[in-house]
Amino acid sequence: MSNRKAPDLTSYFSAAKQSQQLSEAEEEIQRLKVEIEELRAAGSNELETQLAALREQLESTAGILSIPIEQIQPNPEQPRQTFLSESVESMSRSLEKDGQLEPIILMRRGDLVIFDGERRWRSARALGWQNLHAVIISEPVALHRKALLTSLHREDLNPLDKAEAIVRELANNTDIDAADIPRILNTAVRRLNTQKRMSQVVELMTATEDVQQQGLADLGLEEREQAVLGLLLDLQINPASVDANIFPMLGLAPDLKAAIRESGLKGVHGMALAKLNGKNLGKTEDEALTIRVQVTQKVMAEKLSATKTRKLVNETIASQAKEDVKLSRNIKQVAKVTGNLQKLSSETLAAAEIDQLTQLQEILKQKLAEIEEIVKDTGEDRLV
Amino acid sequence: MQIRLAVISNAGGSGKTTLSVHLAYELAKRGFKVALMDLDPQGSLTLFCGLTPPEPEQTLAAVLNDNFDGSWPLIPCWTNHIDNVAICQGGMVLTQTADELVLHKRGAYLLNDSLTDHSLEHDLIIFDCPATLGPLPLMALAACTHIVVPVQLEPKSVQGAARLLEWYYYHIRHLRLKPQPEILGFVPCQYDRKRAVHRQLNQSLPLQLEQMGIRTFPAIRNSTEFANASGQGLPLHLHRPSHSALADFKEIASSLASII
Repeated sequence: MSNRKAPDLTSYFSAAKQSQQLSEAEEEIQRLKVEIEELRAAGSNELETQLAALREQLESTAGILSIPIEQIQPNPEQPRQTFLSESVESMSRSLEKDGQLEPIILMRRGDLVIFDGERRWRSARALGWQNLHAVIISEPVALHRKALLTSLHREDLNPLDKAEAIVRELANNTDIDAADIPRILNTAVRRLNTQKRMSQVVELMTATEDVQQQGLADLGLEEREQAVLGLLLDLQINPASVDANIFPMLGLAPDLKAAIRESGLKGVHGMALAKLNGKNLGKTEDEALTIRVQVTQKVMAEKLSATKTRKLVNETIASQAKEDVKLSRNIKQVAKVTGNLQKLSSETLAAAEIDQLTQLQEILKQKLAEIEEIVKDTGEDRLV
Repeated sequence: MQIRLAVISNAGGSGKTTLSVHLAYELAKRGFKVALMDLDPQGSLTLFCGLTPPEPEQTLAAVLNDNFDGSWPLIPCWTNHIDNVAICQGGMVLTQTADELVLHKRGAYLLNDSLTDHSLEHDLIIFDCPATLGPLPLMALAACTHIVVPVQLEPKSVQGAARLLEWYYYHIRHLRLKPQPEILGFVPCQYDRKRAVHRQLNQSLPLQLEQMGIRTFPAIRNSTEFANASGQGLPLHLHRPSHSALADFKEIASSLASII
């Protein structure tokens, strides 16, 4: 066989590939422009829901930051151009009374430019505030925008579905068993936290893929850990947040999973309610389930906030403990009196005053009647 | 849906007409109504379909004329065997058309305009293009829904096909085609497995195309019977019904049938 050199097809096709990428990029830009227009046109209600979803996503990936107001610039492309002074004033009153309820959304475009929250920014400035809570979209480059837009369209994705989707995505793209993925991530995150190097990983989120891979390689991770972290970064999700907020959903009890899927229970509420387990309540898991279902229903019926839910959960656990203590204390008292009565010798009784004895006799008669009543009732219950 | 398939290649002898004719017959046999349009001044389709050379006003040139009234010059072909393939013939007059296209205000869009204004009911329309990347294939690009690229497994042809892709990506943007025609795939033609370079390229070409998300269909093998069949004005199916090369068209024909 001759060892003839094969034609170098890669060089033949390199220009064609560039043309294709250029063409696809332009198409993508067109598509995004259309999508943005659609979002703008879709009416403020839908826009608000989508902004809420975006806010939530940014909170979970990058966290809420406190940004000095003078660093924030209004957006010249702000779709809402009219800001009635009344509306700014009413927002000011709300800010003064309740504080800032939701973070504003900023874009890093040289300066920090407002993507959503100009009214809050104007009001806060009028009030003379120094800082605003904000979440930041790093760089609105096409790909990142695409990711954001995609997640905008998946606002209905609850954290449990999200956890399962992420695990599926990771399992599909690696040869790691789906069941092992949360544990692998958890081990890596815990170790990186101990080494105080988790922030390095989070910083890689906005980096290019090459930089991400290099950055992870520098951390000396195990192969599977690196694969998991790499894919999460590529998906623009914060691995620490996945480990802390998303994957724990997978371990929730079936009743809570069902409530999340079917009744729209929020993930944070689910995590709080998960504390109502047999161990914390000092009951069997079946008894704990009954209590948990009751509390879950209350939380949803009264639309309790996450804080109030946590409080309710803690109160429930505390009241269970108190009831137990009260119960055992009462039982102790009966035992104690029984003991004391037994210790009461005939010599002691003989030596007592007649008044004392009559009083004791009265009390004993009365108690005896009460005891007979109770014993009769519970005796019947027990027979049944 | 109606598929308008442009068979484009900028290398001569890559098998455009052979592929056009055999796809037309395969799909017709599956019950679809097929029109073949010859955009090639050489008029090879006339030969491959056993027809006589047409008068200039009975060619595609008439369709591109500003005064086209919608009576498509479609000639039924292989009528002894099937009744659902018709041909719009090409001819030397198309060289003149190509020159005029350059100055025409609707230049590249003329064929698409005619197909829009005077629509055809055929399930599949195949544009057999000349071996250049000039105004005539450009017109096919603007009129088609899909393109298929026949390529000989020779370095020169493969390199030419890569250039063709640059041409495609440039012009779909430049002509602002919406929806953009899709690349159905590449079809390696005249594959001779006794030749090392053919075997090599038959392996490496699909890898390159796969990186671009472009499908490579199974190669059509080389056979002198293709030339013999074209001399008879017949597809190989009718000339040598049991020829083994006929199997090579199945996958691409099925792919077309599934989109229709």
